[in-house]
Amino acid sequence: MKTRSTPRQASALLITLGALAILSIAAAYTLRRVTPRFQMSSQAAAWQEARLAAESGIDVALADLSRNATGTQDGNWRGWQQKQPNGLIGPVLSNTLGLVNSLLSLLGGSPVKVSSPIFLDNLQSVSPGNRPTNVDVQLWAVYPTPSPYYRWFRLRAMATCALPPTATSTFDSLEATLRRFSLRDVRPQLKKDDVGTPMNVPTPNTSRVVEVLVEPVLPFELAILTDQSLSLGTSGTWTVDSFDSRDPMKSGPDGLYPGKGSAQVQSHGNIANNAGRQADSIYGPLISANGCVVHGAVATNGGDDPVTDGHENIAGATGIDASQIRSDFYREIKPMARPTSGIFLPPPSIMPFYVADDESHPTQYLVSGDLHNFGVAPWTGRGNGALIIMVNGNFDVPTSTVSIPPNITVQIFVRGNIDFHNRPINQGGLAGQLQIYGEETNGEPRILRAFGNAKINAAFYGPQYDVHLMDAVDWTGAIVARSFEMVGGGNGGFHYDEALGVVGAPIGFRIARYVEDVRE
Amino acid sequence: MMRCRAISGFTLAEMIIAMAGTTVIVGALLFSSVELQRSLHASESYASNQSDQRRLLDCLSRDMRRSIGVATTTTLNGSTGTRLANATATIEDNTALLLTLPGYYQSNTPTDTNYDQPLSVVTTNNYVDYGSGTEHAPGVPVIFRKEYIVDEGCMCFVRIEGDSQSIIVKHAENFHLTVAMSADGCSGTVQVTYLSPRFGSKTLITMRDEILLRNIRLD
Repeated sequence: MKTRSTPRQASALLITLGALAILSIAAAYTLRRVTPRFQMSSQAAAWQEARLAAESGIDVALADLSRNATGTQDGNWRGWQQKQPNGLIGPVLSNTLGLVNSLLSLLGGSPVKVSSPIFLDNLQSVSPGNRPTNVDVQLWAVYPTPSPYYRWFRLRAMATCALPPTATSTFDSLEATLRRFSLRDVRPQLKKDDVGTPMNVPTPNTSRVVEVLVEPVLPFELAILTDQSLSLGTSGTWTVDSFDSRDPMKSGPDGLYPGKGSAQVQSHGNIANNAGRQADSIYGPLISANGCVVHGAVATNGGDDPVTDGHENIAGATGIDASQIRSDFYREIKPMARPTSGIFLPPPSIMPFYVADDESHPTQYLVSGDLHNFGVAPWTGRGNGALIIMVNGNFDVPTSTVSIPPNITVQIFVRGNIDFHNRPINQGGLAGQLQIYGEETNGEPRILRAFGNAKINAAFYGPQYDVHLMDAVDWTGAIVARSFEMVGGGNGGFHYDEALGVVGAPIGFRIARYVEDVRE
Repeated sequence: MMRCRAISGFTLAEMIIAMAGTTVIVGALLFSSVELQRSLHASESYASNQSDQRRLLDCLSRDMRRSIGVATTTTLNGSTGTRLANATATIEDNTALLLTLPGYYQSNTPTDTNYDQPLSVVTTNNYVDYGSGTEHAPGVPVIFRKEYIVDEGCMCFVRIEGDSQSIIVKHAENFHLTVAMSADGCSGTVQVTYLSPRFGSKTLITMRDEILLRNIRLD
């Protein structure tokens, strides 16, 4: 009899699939908890990129400040925009940031005048991962004094960086408080920093705002600054010191230099040199102090071996406080251009008495040839007076002197050589009242010279000029030049007036205050 | 004619072998499952700790970058601080980090309507800064401290600004924060390490950030 065998069926496949399903569910559950945290890393990276982008916007604005806001006249602010009087957005007008013609406002009782803002709209950049990033930068000019040259600037940059399309809200409230992502809509508070055309970075995104206050680097912040060689007096009694004509406790009668050895003499006669050493000899002298006594800091661009106790960057440093020697200095100095707009008067013909006007709009003279000794008519107006003399030839004073009455500032722009011979220049006046600017030389050699017992009260800015002083020249003020050499010196000296630290048109800018607006 | 009914079943030997095989397979699956769970739990723990470290680092870096003073303090309100320069401080126990931020906002009370409004710029001695009237705004002290928060029932890193206290990291028992300032005091390194209690003193995760102070120190 045949028996039918029953089919045998196995369930291994079902069991395997079931086990896999259970394991997969476990893994998926955990990944579901872990993935958002890792995704938050990517979102946090975008948050970091936004700050870097905002700081890049500040850098762009600083570069444009150097191009457009240094010297005596503004540039054309190419690429910047402003809100026109008719409410439309357009290019910056030439007088937008000017003291006189701009829309000035007094903010909250502050005595500081602030101009209307100009802005850079929708600067584009790409962050790592090809995330689009958008930066808006705003700029205001701030006038703490009546001078049209002494301007601070307020810069505010908002950068928005895109998040991954799959960005999610963090389940961690602590993270949300710190990062404040815009997942669907941008926070209303950010709208006021999105100037001009609305930004084109889609949500989800993250924004950060950085704001800086920028102060001008003025030409006479140091007693002596050179781009190349700097050699101090060789007499052994020649000194560099300082005083402050604004402070009776730090100056002599009428704010003049109180005299060597006086208790009012200060120790801020700081000198510096931009020149660096050759690559094959990085340690060695950059300033020849020649045993001079310097009451102030002495700084070079390298040259000092940090391993040794001595200061290789200064030769003959016996008269210098070793703790005041530095080797980390560099400051770019460029020739300052003369004004190119306004009315240029011919020099006075009968008597060499120039006439000043209010310092907010100084009188401008153009001397086609050489300028010699001259005087200035007393100032009878309110506040201070000022005048500008532009000299196409040399500034040569072989006889007589240069005389400037109180409360008047004279700025002289020179294209030729400057020779004071052994004459007294601006005696009885403050150094800040006579500012001499040596212009671009186009490669031609230019010098400033004085010898004998010349006593000079002036501030000189000529980055392409070589200054040669000899014998017993006594200089009160400041000098910025390509090179400086004092041969001899006698009992003379170099006396820096600390009041010069706030005069002159800016030669650059530096950040004085950095904040991040974290509450917006 | 009688029809035989099929009688089917497993023999004892088959059952025993099948049970042994099943035990091995299920055991392997369970073992894999447990190990997988441990691994995934470790990943979650790693991600969580890294997130906490990053948040602490970013919060501290953001404040330190704009600070005008860096000091350590052992007082609760930060009334006295020791300037930190060319030294390393561990923010632990009674030692807190005291940062002084430049005055920028009109109010530092979170409930005020002008809490998020910046000050105007004012000038003193030809120097421009944020302030009101003719005075620059004073610095704002911010304290970073590791302390036990009763409401949370654990150690936390907190940020204290005025009367406002915000928790940055919870369950911070195994987190350690050190701040090392350079010799010139213009830059610093902030380091957050996580020490797992399961591995003794072996550091598992370290995050570090180099910070350049953007403002000149006034302390």
